[in-house]
Amino acid sequence: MTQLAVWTAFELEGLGANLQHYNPLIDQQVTETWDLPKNWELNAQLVFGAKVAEAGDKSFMDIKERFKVFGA
Amino acid sequence: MASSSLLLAKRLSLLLPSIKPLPSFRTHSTRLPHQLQLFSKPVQTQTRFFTQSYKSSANMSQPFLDSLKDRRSHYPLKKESPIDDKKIQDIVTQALLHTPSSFNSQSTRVVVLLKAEHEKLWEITKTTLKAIVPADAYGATEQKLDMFKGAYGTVSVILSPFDFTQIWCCPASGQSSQTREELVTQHNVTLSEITLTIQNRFSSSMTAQSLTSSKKATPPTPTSSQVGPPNLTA
Repeated sequence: MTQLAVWTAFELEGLGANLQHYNPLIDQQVTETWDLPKNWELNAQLVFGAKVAEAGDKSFMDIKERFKVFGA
Repeated sequence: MASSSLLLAKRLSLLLPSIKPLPSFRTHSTRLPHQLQLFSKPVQTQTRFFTQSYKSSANMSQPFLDSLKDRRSHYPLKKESPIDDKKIQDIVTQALLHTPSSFNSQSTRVVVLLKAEHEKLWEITKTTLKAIVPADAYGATEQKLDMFKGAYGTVSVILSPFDFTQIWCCPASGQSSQTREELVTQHNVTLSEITLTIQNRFSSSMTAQSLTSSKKATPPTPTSSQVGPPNLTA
């Protein structure tokens, strides 16, 4: 949830981002490099910077296949 | 009362032309004149004000949903930022503070890496993957990782294992500042619900034996602050 919150706020500020997941491969090296507590588990890496271009079109599945409502 | 309201309305109308609401907060610009109407005709327009206020707020969620829609993946990215480092830290801090967590456990951690520190992260990733990825496939991997390295920074989201068993068995151990009873009162949960959460959360990482022993260690004693009846067999 934190990733989405930061990512959305960044987008509003005109900052581009993409989300990567190289954990747990890099966990040990990361905790050692920045002297982080050993039990911190990496979850996601949100890479950000000024945009080179705007994002292209995005395709969506038929929403009826993804959404149901009962009792409305 | 009436004269001070009028005075306030006058002052607001003086201020109003200088206020330019952001386009994404359209509802504000439509609501302010209604408020002024309320000040000038207090009795007659009160009901109307509330009705209109309700109507104008019916789509208050749209700016938020539009922001969700506008959030996209961007690659590649430049080693520069349209906002300064302080603003970046401020955004991350606020997102971290106000993103919910189960039982307000606040178990999310964030490490922001900028410029040279960000590059260090992606160098680490390159070294790690070079040792794992087959040599003939590494070229494409390296190209991708160099693209990430070329960006301005990385927000590394981290989970700090929050030991719910601390709440269950030994709240005084320093891991948690909340006692079971405080948790029950604050979050309107029953002790059996907490037990269930512990079991779900730790079913993979925790042996049944240690869970049983931690439960045995301190059988919960009913207190007046408990919301629901303790179900010890849950």
